[in-house]
Amino acid sequence: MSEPVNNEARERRSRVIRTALLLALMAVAVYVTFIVLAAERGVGLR
Amino acid sequence: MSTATHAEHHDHGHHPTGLLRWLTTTNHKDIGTMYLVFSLVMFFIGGTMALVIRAELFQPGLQFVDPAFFNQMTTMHALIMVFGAVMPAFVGLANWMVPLQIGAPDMALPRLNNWSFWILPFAFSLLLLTLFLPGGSPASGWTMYPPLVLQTGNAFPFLIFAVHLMGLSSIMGAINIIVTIMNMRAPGMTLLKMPLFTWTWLITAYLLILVMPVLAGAVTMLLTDKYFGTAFFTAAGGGDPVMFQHIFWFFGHPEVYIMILPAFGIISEIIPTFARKPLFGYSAMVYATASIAFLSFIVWAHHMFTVGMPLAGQLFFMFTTMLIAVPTGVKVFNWVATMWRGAMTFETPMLFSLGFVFLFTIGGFSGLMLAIVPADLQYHDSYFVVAHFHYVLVPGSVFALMAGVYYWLPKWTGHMYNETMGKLHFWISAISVNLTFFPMHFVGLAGMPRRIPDYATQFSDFNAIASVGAFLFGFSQLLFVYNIWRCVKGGEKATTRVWDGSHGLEWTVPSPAPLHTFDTPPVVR
Repeated sequence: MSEPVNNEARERRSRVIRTALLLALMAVAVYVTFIVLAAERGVGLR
Repeated sequence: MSTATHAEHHDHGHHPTGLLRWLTTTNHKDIGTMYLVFSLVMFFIGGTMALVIRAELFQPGLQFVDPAFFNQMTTMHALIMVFGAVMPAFVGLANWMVPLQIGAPDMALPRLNNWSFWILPFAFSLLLLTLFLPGGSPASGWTMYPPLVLQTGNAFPFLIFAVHLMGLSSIMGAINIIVTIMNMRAPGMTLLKMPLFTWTWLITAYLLILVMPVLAGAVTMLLTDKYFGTAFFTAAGGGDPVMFQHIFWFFGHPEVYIMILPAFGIISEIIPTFARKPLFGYSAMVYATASIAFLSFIVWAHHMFTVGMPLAGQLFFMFTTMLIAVPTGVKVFNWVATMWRGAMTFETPMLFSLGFVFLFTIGGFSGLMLAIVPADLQYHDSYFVVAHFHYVLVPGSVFALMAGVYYWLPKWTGHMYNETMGKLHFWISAISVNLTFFPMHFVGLAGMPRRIPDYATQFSDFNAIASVGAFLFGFSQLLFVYNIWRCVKGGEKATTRVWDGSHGLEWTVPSPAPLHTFDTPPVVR
């Protein structure tokens, strides 16, 4: 995506980055949740 | 849908050429092409491994390879076909077509897009190099069940890191697709005006983000179990190997739909074009796709009926699995209804699509049989299962990919492919794929186990037929490659619209599609 040239483009860029970060956070949250759940359920980290 | 298109080529200063162009490109069309070429290479590597398996199984007794290498071949064939061939091929099509279908100039995050692709050659080099390690490649099956997988030798860390890299690439690709679709649509392109291929990819991308981290978590725990003294899945340390199976299949079943939902999207694009009718039940198709995606999260334990679970669990997973037949049936009905009284012609993409509808449905029906708990106790781990998932993946996903490539190739290259060769490719593929996989139902029902290099002589005839079919199918794919090569090099010029009945924004840009399209967004009415 080229440099934002007006407010509309700037706003779209921030929307793009916000959505991407939110989705990346979701992926990390799922990853951590499953490891923690497995550790809680079993004796994984003992 | 009326559109205004600005598709002239814009030269933004100096562009690198040669290898550097491909290494540094952020253009969605270049990256799409790289994904497609990469997946084709992987398709042939994984296919060669399948032919090693079928050569060994041509006759009973041990013929060419030792059993340990046979197990490595079944494992690597699956990993390469799933993560290296089918998934990247769909991502390649998404890269090429999603921006064109929604009127976007490129993907929303082009640099991330480049990175997502270039991770893959490293991941698969790691995986393939294990073939040359002492002890060879991973041999525990693509499901990587402990405790067996923990006995893998030097290849183990390579396997784990390769899977992590594949997951990272998929997640980044999925983020890019969602962000693009949610933020880059042309004015007037509302969600319910989007082409079905884009819709199915939007839903698939959400599935990827929700399940790839689950696989990553599972293999991270395998890694720490093997090297860092944890006991997540090691019974000797108080861990639970069955828990791995639950976690794996919580990823694994949605993964099946990751490999088939974009295929549904492609078929939903092609059938209306060659039936010269709008898709029957557009919104029903969207809701059916979403329903299948939702149901894919609550059926995982049908892969584990023989492991043992409470009756209530068996009933729950049996009924939810059967429920998937409803939205899938809606889709098949709608494809047939679209063709009903249409002015159909049978060019190669349509032939592959029809092949898909017939043969994928066979895979769907055998899936229903496997969902029945008491029957599954008989079918489990037999060749019936191998027949089932190959019907879903080969004349299902792979046929849809081929249909999509033939359909959009003139738009990519600006030339028509050779139709006679395309039809020949379809007919040889359709016949040989049935020769290969249909007999597997019979030997499976008669009790032949999967992942075994030898078998009782009673299974000889059907195995010989399957092997002949596999070699025929494998070598007939050279026709596909030759046809693509000829089309890239030249041939009859393709028009902008390419097909009589085609609709949508991608058919408003010239053929070949210029490097930059929709710099000025089209208006969709």
